[in-house]
Amino acid sequence: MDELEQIKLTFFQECDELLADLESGLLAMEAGEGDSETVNAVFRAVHSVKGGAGAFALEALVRYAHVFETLLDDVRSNKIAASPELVRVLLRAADILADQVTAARTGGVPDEAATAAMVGELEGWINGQGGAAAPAPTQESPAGAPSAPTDELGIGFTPMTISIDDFAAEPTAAAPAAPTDELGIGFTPMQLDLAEFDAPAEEAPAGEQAWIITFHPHAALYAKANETALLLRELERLGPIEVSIDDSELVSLEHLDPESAYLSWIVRLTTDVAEEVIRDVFEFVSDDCELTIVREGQEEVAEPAAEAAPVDDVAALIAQINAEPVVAAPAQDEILPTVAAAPVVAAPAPVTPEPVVQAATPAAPAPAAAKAAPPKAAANEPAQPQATIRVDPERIDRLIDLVGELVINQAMLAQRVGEHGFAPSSDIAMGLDELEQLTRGIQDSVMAIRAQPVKSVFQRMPRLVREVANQTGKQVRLVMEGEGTEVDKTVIERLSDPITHMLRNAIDHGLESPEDRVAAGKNGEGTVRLAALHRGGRIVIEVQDDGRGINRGRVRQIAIDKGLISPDAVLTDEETDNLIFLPGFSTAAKVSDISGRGVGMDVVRRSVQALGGRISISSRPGEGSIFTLSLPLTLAVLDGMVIDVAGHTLVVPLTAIIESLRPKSEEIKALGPQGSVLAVRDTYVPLVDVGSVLGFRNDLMPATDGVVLLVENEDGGRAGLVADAIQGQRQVVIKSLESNYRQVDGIAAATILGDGRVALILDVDAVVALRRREPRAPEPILHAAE
Amino acid sequence: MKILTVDDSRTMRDMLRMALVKAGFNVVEAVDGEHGLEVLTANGADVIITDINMPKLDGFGFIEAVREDASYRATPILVLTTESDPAKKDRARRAGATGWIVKPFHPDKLVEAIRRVAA
Repeated sequence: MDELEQIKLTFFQECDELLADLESGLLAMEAGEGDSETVNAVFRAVHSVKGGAGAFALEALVRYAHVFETLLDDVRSNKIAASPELVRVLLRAADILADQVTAARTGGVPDEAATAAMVGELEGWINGQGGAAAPAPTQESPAGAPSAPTDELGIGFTPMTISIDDFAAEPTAAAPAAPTDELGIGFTPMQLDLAEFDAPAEEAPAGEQAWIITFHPHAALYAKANETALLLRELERLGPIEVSIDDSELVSLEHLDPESAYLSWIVRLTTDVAEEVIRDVFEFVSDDCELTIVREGQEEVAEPAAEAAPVDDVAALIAQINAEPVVAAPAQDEILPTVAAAPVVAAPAPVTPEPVVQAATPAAPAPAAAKAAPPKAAANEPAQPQATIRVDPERIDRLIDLVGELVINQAMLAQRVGEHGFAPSSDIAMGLDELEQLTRGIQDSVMAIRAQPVKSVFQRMPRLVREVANQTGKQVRLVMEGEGTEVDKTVIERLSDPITHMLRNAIDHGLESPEDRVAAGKNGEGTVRLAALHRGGRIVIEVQDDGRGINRGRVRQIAIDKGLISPDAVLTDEETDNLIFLPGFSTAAKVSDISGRGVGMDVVRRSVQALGGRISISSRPGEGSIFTLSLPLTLAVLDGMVIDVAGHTLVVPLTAIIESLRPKSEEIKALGPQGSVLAVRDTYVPLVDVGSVLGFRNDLMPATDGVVLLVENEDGGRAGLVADAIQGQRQVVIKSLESNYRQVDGIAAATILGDGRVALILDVDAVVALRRREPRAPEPILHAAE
Repeated sequence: MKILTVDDSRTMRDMLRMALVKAGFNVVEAVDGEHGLEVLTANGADVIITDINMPKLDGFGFIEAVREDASYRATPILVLTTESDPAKKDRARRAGATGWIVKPFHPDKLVEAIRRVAA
């Protein structure tokens, strides 16, 4: 990839950051938390997108960003007040900017109608028509010239295409390739290529022409570090020059102000370029000098005084230039000798250095260096705000795969060593222990590389919420929490779809219309909270709304109508709520385009389950609902407890296990024909015989013959898993059962053990649910509190 | 010749560096005005190229601070302007800017602007 392409990639990366900044700034403004720096940052974000886009000739992007930026500039300079109404427009404008960036990146075509509509809206605000909040419209013809402020794009800002060849070009003669050639003023005419200059060739008068240029710099010119010598050098690039100095204004030394400019220059330039090209040389200084450029023989301007001494010697010329009392001289102690030694200072009065020193001293400013912060870090490394290394994700994935193999290999080795009867205190066993620790350390570190904050997913949601709110005519405030929560990249990628569904559902079905809300005594604007947190070694995403809650009667009726439950089924509220996840259930009278885009919540649940995750909903009538989604932190490795069940080896995720018990018979109570509960301190938990639930055996094993693993499921409910024996704790590499075999109820995935055998990883919640399903009756007692 | 570029946009810094290095200059970079002063103090510079819109300390403030330091009164400063906005250019000039470069710049134009202000 060439360097320019690389920079283009950087640009799009930067765009993502800028767009995120833009949105968070606008959201802060919307929440009334924005100060002037927030507005500045918002402006800068759009400005930087435009700047970069210009460099890559992304014209559509430049054009749109320009209008957006113009409005933001007005807001920034308080010409337009940042009313809530305007901020909402700006948020939508930011969404379209994001679309434009995406289109530019993928080479696609952005939605032109949406863009045009937004441009119209932005221009309306710029022209003071946007809202009542816009003060004193200063536009003389607000209706007549709506596009006037923006169509100057072509004037002020022309996107350009730069090819890598432009950069690759060897420094031309024009480039200051030899910085040591201080002034480079020689009188030899140079060969010039007209194409180097702006002026089209036809504008140039045919043949050479002599020009008389009179140039009288003001002191301000030197104060800005401009140099007459450099201007003369530039002129000389256009053709041979003859330079004379007019020193008639020079004062005697005692009156000399070292910060003033006393000298004028008359240059005769012979060249075939147009006047504009000559004038261009003085572009930077035109405000700080008197300048006349006329063809020789047409000088109407009076020759600037006196006999200007022709200068025909480079050394003398430079000496004269240096003699000019330049403010720009680096330091006071250098000014003095220069002025004193100036050969052209023809001041008659015998002078002593003192007056000069006095003149110079007050002019010497206090060094400002003390103000600057102490030098930071190594000199040659301009520090980046965050030092990061960009790595191809594939390399990290490969590394993680390898580490996974290493974990398995290490476990195999440990098992072999055990089988060969090495004592735990033997060198080999101890060395293996160390190896295990190191392996685990490597694994954690590698996983940490791939961990990302959920922010990357969350930041796409405000836009979604705005869009759905627009489509449904609801007013929604989105509150996000825990955006910094980190989770493995494999999981991040899978979060977006379920979150999107949950949010759509919360707005479309959960929230009431503003009128209904007000009628119910609520704020017309509904609140949807999106939160991420770590709980029990998993990542939990919650989507909560303060809407009407689930209409259980209706849900139940639909479920009965669709034959999903029997009419006489007795269900808890929670079970009723969760009916919406059943296949074939859809509460929307008309299948709404918004909630799930016609995809039912059952599909969402299935895709979540496929990742070893769970989704559930709970609701309070009139107060709202909360979706809870939980997923493992990573889909790559798992800390597990290895257990024996009816001759099979199974792995239970350690995060699900609270403790393991060896129950006594008096702690077990029968409940119904098949069920039993175990007294754990002051609570009863249902016992689940894993062997029979999974079909490994037909009869229940007495819990007293084995061990019970007390587990907690997502909703905080507890159960006791009955197993034959516990082998021990182990980290296992997750191998998808689904992609290698097929989905099996109660089994989350598989792994390879140290001895090379395949072991199944239990899906604890599913196993508990499987047991519950047998009687198909409502759950006996989940929390059998006494 | 050492050139200090001050711009909060990574893209723009990269573009400048690519063009300047190809033209044979040494480049040091800073991400905003404040950082620019630090880098300048630590490294010095023969020419400074600065953006205007930056966080912490903007281009105008940065130029004024540089000019206040006697050691850098003669250091040419070129400002990057996105459009030939006369008001912004004037303000930069009043702050002490030597010249300007209009973005997006052609590498040749960039080199030409430097040549006009630096020996």
